[in-house]
Amino acid sequence: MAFEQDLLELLPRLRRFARSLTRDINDADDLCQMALERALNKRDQWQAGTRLDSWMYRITRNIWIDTVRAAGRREQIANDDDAMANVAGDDHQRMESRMELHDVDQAMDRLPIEQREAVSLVLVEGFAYKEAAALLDIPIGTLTSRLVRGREALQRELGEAA
Amino acid sequence: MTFDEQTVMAYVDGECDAVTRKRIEKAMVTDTALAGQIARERALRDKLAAHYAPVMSEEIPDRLAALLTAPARPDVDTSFASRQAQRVMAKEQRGRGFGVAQWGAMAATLALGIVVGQYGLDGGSNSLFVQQGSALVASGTLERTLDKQLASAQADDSAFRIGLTFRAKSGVICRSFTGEAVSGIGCREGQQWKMVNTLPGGGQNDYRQASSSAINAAAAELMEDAPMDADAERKSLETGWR
Repeated sequence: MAFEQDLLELLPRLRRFARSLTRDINDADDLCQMALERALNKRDQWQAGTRLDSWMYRITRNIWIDTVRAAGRREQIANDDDAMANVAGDDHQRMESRMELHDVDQAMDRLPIEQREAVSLVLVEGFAYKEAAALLDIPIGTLTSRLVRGREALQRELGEAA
Repeated sequence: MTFDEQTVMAYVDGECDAVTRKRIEKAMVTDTALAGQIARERALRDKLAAHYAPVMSEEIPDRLAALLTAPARPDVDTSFASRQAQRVMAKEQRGRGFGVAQWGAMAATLALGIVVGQYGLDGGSNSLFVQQGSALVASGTLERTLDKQLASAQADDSAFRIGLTFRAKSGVICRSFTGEAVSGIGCREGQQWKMVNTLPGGGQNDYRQASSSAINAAAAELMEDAPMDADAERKSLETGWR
């Protein structure tokens, strides 16, 4: 049960990670469920002595990417001016209090997937750049430029109201 | 001095090197735009963290918990030894990369013995160091470099490159240098440069980079404020590094 126990301990973090990627609580838990199932099936591929959390984050992230792609969903690009204009427009003041609980979700949801996963791993999950880049199989420079762009977009949406 | 977005971001994320951190912290005092930018970045980090934090204390849905509370399979190595190894590894990796403290410790541990042994105290005119009491002071080419060379005007073929010039907490001027054979930090004592830190230099790129990071980290520890800019460095040379 040790493996299961370790996964159980990791689960709150994985749920948080999934929530920041998918926004919707049910989608997030579906993602966690798929990730746990895959981990249990492939448990012999995890090497004792390596970090279980990185392994699980990687599995979760890969399933998420597959799901997003399979759904053929078009992710909006960060500089999608129309989307920004809607949020930053005249209605902003009126909507502000109503949106309070959801504005972070919305802003994250608008990020292109590459920026969202980078922001999520570093700003929400607290991974070091090196760890996050390894987890995503990208060079650190790529990670940091995605972080810069993701942050700019989030600042445009959330910074003003803060 | 201005900092690009990536640098400011790395600062807020606790990812920039010690010297840059010092520079930013110094600049923040007078540069309100920079201070504002950092405050905004911090606020964003806090906002995201606060937004998702409640998930951590939510009750785990049954459908997820059920997956993990089924009977264990016998085919997995759950031996104490493997779990122990894993725990030790996780603990080691929890630290984020190499911090100042580690570099500092490394710089202190490596250092004098090795370097002196190799480039030592033969007393010949080519020696880079001479011993005075318990201290090691720069000599020959190294001494001339520390005396005369400005970081802003270095010939490509000079044996040493000057890195940072700064005032140490103890009040004296110190200069870091890197070279093929040896890198380190010399601090002014009387008319001489007393070595406070030396590392084998770097013939190879990797090593050069590692040694220069280590030196920078050690410099950051010594430094009172921030490294001098080109003007301050020149004035300091003109006044005999006082």
